[in-house]
Amino acid sequence: MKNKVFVTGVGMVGPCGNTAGAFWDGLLSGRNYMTPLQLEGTVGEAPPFAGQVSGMEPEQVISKRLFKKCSRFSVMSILAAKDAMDDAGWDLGTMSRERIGIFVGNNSGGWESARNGLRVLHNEGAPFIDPNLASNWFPAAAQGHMSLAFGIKGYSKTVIADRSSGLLAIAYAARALRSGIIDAAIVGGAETPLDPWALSFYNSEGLLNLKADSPETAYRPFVAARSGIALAEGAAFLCLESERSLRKRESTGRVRASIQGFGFTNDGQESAPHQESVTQYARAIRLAIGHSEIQPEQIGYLSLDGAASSRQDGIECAAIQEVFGGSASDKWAGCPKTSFGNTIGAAGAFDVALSVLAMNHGQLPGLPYLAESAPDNDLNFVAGSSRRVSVESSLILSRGRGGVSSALVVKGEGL
Amino acid sequence: MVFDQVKAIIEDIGIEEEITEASRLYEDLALDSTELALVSTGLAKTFGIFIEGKALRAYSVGQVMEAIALKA
Repeated sequence: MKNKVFVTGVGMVGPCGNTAGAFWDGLLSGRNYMTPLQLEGTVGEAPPFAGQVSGMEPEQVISKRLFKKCSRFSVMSILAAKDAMDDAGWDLGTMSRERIGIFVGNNSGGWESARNGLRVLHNEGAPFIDPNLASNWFPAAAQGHMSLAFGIKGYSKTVIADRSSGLLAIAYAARALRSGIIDAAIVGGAETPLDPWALSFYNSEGLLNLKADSPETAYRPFVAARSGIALAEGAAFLCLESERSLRKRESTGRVRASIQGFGFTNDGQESAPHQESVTQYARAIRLAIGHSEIQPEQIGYLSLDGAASSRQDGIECAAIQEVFGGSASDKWAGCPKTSFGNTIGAAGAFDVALSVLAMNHGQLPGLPYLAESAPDNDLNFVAGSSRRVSVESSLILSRGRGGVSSALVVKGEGL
Repeated sequence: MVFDQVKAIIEDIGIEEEITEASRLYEDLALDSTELALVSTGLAKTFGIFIEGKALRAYSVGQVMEAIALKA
């Protein structure tokens, strides 16, 4: 029998708030959390707005000694992971840390550390480079720093797959739990792309909205006025547990949701023809549903990738139509990150975390900008700041550059 | 004066234990290889003295002060 995998905790650090509770309340307020982006040393055009994190209190969780070793995305990861563990009621002292894993989705690592290191190399010479650079600039650094922060020693992985990184990390963690390698995992994603280097990179890919004249127009997928994504920094983590782990700590165990099926496909070619991308995206969705215990009609909420380009939005909507046909309009569709920005490697983790909270609260985050722009497709978007709807299961979608498609089905559980 | 400067370099790493001249960097303060390299960089910047992080593993704070005095 397949081992079930449960979500027992949710934690977040992001533009809407530095705990999952604060983030959720902020998001549902309907406020837009993108703020003017002012960075020194940016090469070329820079996006005018981004979702930025302020007010973190790392000294509450991270020792001064470890903090010195960490890049910003590691700090956010540790704080969001602690928030998730507190939500789950984890007492690491009573759990086997060798049976807990860490899975992180990330795309660009600690760019600010790498950039500072190169600046020192150029200006002062190699002996003066911060030796912490050797272990804090790359995407797997957050996984290592989380291990140091919490003493977690189980099977762990970091996944780099553009905007699909977060979903893939969750899927790999669920697979490790199902196989019995570990009993529990802290899993999610972190990204800090608001750095001149990172912006140069994302700019060269043509992903960013460089033309927005207000936060409200910075990120608007699925409408004709779309013009690219707005970036955000942040981290979102979940506590996943097997039934065995829940049984062991039944006095404190609480279940928010269960991880169902996962699908992952590639287009298999650069700039694939539209229909081939639709076919592969649809295949990822079918795989996810096929590996789930639920039926397609039980999915009530679609959490979308929202690349905000006419090609990518068109592929996403067409894939959904291909899988669900006429019943697609019976499901609610949303893209909560339009209110705070796209966290790239963490985006899938934020989307899963918010979908879990939405199912638990019976309230779906909306797309406030739809009040002024009508969608150019047939999906049934949640308009306004939110809508009170009870949803049984959610389908969370992510795409990545190069034709990566991923889909995850999550079922809400009674708290 | 020199002691205070060396102490500040070590404290900047985040070491919260009491630091005396007798404190050994590895044995007593438990500095790891990265932290020893940070002390090496700090000594180079502050005193213009280069002691490899690996070598600092065997040093006490007092021995670091002696090395600085020899260089001066």
